[in-house]
Amino acid sequence: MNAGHERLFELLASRATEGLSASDSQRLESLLEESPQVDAEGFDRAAAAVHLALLGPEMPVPEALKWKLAAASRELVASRHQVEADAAPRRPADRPTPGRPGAFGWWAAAAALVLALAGWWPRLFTATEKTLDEGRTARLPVESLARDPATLRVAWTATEDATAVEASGEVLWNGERQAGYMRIAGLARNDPKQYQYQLWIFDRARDERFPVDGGVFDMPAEGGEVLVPIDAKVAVGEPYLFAITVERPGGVVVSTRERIALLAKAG
Amino acid sequence: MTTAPADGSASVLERIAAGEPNAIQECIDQYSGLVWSIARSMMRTAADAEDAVQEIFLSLWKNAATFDSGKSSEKSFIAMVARRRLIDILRKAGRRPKLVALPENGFDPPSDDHLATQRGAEAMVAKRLLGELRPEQQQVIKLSVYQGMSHSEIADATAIPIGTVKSHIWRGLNLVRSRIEEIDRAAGDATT
Repeated sequence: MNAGHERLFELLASRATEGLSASDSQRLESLLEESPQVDAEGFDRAAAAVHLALLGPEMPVPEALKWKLAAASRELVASRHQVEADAAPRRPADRPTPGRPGAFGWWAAAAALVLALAGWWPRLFTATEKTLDEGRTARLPVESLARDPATLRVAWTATEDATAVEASGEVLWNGERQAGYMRIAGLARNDPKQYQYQLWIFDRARDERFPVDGGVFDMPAEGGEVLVPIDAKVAVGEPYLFAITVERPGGVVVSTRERIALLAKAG
Repeated sequence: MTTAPADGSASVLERIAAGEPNAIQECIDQYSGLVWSIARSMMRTAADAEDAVQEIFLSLWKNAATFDSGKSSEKSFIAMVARRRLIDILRKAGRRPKLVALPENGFDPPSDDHLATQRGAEAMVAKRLLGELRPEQQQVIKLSVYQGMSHSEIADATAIPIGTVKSHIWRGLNLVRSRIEEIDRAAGDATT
């Protein structure tokens, strides 16, 4: 190994372990140009292999982080869809799946919600803002969505279902991005083997008997406020009501609407 | 080291690069534990690690097309991307060393069985070669790679001269790098 190679390898090893200053980066680029046969990523791969060799059993990922990652992934997918939509004619809206009608429960709850919302809004937003660390969350994709003026924000109203006695929070939905998430606090922890929560989105463009399935989710044991990404199975046009029901594990295609935990009426 | 799926199917990063939306969530399901563990080993606080993990995944998704299954395993590639982001973050933050006591008896790496099944061939090679180094070299490499300490921080913590620290690191990593490349070449010759 000549002196040039030794310096090159020293710089590659430094880059792979502690990073390089701007001047060392320039020097490295110059040395790599002189030695095109050297694999520029070899030391990075070696450091990764050493790290994998030293790492013990994988640590459990915090639930809040899982949700943030899921929300970020949805935002990325939505961005990609938006790019595709801009480049191609829009396809016809998905047709709702025929199923069991049962509109009365939704409408009764929605009517009650109109009365309840007036008192809920200011209190909910005060409580929610207190839980945010603006400095940290501003960098999160979910927070960019929250700051988007096009994002719809609606506070949850708890029903009399036993799971929702102390529940609160809000739902955020951005139609342009086709992405959103829910902030929920106080909803009862669930055993996923017994039951799960499921979000439904009522869209003015669709038959109200067939709301859009917004995804199945669980409430963690830790309690406190959680972020749940909305996983809408089809495109949502103009949402006017969000509802969380209690369903069997895995969720359902059409809800019987026997247990409604939370509602959020938009507009 | 080529580690493409045995059934010839595309890896999760290759499917992300191909625009398959479900692959992004699969990537989280499959690798969030690994990335989180790597981040926790290098970052001082859980909050810092959480922020870093989000940046790492965004970087992975947006650069999935750069993964080459002919050059490394997917797990190794993800570890490499994670480490790069973490090193960047540490440098930008002025590098905050982890304030933990150095283990008296060294570290407690995973078993061979665990490595072989969970971490892949490169990790097995690295573990074997690390075991052949002198204890002082091993300690320096572990503090650098596993804990993300800078070379000067290691010199301060171990009272080993900085030049020796740098030498231990590059010679140790060079050994691993050379061996992995040898195996790759042998594998390439065997298939041609």
